[in-house]
Amino acid sequence: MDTTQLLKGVLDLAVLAVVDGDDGYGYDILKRLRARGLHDIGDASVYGTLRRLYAAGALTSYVVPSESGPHRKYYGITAIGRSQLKQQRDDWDHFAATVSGLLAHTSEGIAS
Amino acid sequence: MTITPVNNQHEISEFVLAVRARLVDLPAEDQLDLTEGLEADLVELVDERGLEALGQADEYARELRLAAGLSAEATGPSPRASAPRWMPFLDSSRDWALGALPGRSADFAEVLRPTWWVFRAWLAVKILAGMSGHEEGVIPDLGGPLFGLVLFVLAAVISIKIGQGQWWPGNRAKTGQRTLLLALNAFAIVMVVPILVMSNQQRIEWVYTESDPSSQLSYNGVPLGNIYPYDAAGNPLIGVQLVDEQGRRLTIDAGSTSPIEGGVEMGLVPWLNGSTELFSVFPLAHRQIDDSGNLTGPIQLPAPPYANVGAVNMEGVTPSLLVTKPVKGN
Repeated sequence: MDTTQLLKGVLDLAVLAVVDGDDGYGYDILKRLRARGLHDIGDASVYGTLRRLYAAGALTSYVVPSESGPHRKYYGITAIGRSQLKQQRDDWDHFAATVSGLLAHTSEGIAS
Repeated sequence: MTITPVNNQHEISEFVLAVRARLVDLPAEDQLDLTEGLEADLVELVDERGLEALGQADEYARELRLAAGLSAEATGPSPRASAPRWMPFLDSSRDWALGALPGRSADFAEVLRPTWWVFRAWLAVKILAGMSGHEEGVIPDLGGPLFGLVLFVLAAVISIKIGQGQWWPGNRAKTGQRTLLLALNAFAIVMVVPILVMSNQQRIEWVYTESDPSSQLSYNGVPLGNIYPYDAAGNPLIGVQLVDEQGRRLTIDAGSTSPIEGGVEMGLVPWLNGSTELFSVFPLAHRQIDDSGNLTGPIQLPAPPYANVGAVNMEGVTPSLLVTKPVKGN
């Protein structure tokens, strides 16, 4: 199954989840997502999502001068972001349970 | 986490430039949001996964735009296309310049930024002082005591706040503001040499003035031939050393005066401090000058113009006592 399409639907939730409680810069957030199993995620997709969440007020951002080279842009979660995270987590749990329940009634699901 | 300098800085800068070029239809603020910090992230990416991890700028920009909730492709040049293009160019130029610095020079450049902020404030004050004709001094007074210093401190605070992005134009500067700041910085850099040369010339002129014959002791513009000090009782003194309020010796130019006594050309004879000749001890003695210009013959102390100039006093001040015993020479 092509997980790319699935991923697009939950990217906001995934990004908010890994930023919650621990600010990070773009590449750092990308690595957190990959470390937690989302290996196929695209770099630019994460950066674009960060920008969109920032524009929506779910994330805050600040620039930190680097010890060498160009400056880093960090993102942190806001109150709006936390609220969004909670809402989307509930939605996901509900959705996942619904789909799991649906699949449990298929022949393969009943057999197992 | 620190970024280790990579050798692929040029390729990374090119990639960032190419991505930015595909965002030019967006408002400058959106472009900044999407690409600020991008270069730092890509440096780390390439450092870990190699240059091939960069991929195609076209595809990258497309994915970035879609994920950000924008149209996948640039919608053609907007009426303000020329302005947004300038911002990525500024960003890329800055990043390229920092990336092109060898070794840890970029760190050094970063450390030097506050120094530059203060220095450009000083330049601004010097330029202002030059325009108002009060350019004297490292911190010019600008016509009033401490006025120049206060202005410099004020200018330094403003300059630092601008440098930190806290005041105008801030971290989200519009194209015009950023260009104006760039132009002001460029103007300051251009003015560094003229201002330093101007300051240096003033110093050189000052030094030069000290040895200029016109700065020798004079009366109504005419150089003095000698000085005859008297004590408070009005009696002539011999061997009085004169210095000004800054401790500089008040000197008579030996070369410019050749008193004639009885048809014989006489030269001034300096007093000696060890082997140092002093023309700042009075009265100066005379000695005959021979045909080849050498001082010759006995040293003669010229007679003072008056045997006594009359006693003087000042309330509450005790004058020096007249030295009656001659000091033996070496």
